[in-house]
Amino acid sequence: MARTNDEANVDLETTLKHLRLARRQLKNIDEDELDALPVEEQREWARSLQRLSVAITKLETADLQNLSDEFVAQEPQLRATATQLDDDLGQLADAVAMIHVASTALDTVTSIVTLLA
Amino acid sequence: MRVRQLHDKGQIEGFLWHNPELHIYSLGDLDDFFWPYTTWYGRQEDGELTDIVLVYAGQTAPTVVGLSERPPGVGELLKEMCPLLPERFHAHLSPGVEAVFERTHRIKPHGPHHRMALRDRSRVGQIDGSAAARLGRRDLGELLRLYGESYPGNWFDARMLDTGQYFGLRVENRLVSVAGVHVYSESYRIAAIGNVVTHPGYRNKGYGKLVMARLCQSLLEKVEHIGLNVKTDNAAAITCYRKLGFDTVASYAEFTIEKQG
Repeated sequence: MARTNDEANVDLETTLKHLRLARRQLKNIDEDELDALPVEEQREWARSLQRLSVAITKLETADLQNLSDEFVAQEPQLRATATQLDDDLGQLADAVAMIHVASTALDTVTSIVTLLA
Repeated sequence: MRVRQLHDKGQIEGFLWHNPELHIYSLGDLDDFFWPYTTWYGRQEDGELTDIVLVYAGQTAPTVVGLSERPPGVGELLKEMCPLLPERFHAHLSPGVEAVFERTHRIKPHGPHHRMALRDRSRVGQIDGSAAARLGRRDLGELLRLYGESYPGNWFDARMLDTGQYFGLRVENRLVSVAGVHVYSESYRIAAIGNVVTHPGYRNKGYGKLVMARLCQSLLEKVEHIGLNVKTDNAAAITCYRKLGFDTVASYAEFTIEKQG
């Protein structure tokens, strides 16, 4: 089912695509590499995966006909952040750098997705 | 830390299949549909996986699953992986495991539960469930209304309607009884039944048993193992499930757990 609302010019499909790809990249960090990281980095990795999944779930289940004006206003920024996150993760090989990039982007993603309530 | 992040589905699956009835939800979560929402942690001894904890984030609050035939082992694992857990989560834990959080977290209990599994398949086949209809997305409004009236605080996820494994009974054109799935995987031949409810005005008429029987008949065409969770004080539901051929296979408790400070 396409997650778009043309009337409100909202395209959750693109955001979802990039968030799912970002999640896959984060999830695929080598487990030996993760196990060798300090616990703070491991915690941030786990937290980022959980925040990504919660954001994806909220976007997958959002009622597209009843989006708040606040969410609609910030949706382009959400889409841009998700796209950038996916691109950035694709260019990074270092696990710590990936975790930090994800953590920063997810602050924005989470704050906007929360507007879906 | 001896905790390991587990990424290898095969390794996790191998461990969980030792007791599929206990791990029925976790096995289903290995399916491609659920897998992206999961993070898995394990503890090993002599290279062998001894305990597993699953963090499932497919709902708006994450769920931590720590079920084991040897609860002290999974308790040790949870203690070691405490820094990796979400600040607030729902938890399904084997008896006594919650003690590892007593000093560091606020623990709100939601009561003891039974894990039940369908063991006598012959019984569901003996019940005529033909009055129950398969439900889909077009029935979402009616379903949400029934859950709102009869089962607030349910775990209904509209995406699961797409499995085709939701059945409902209408009386005078009103949806009054429903049974569906929390977890469903044809790949792993696993299903966990959930969100079973009958409108309070229509209880004690056998409607719940009827929709459950119809659902189980449909599921058995596709899966090998069927399980469910039920609160131990829900005597009416337990009696109904036993009549359908379900047996209790494990006990556990549910909690909301939140880090202090």
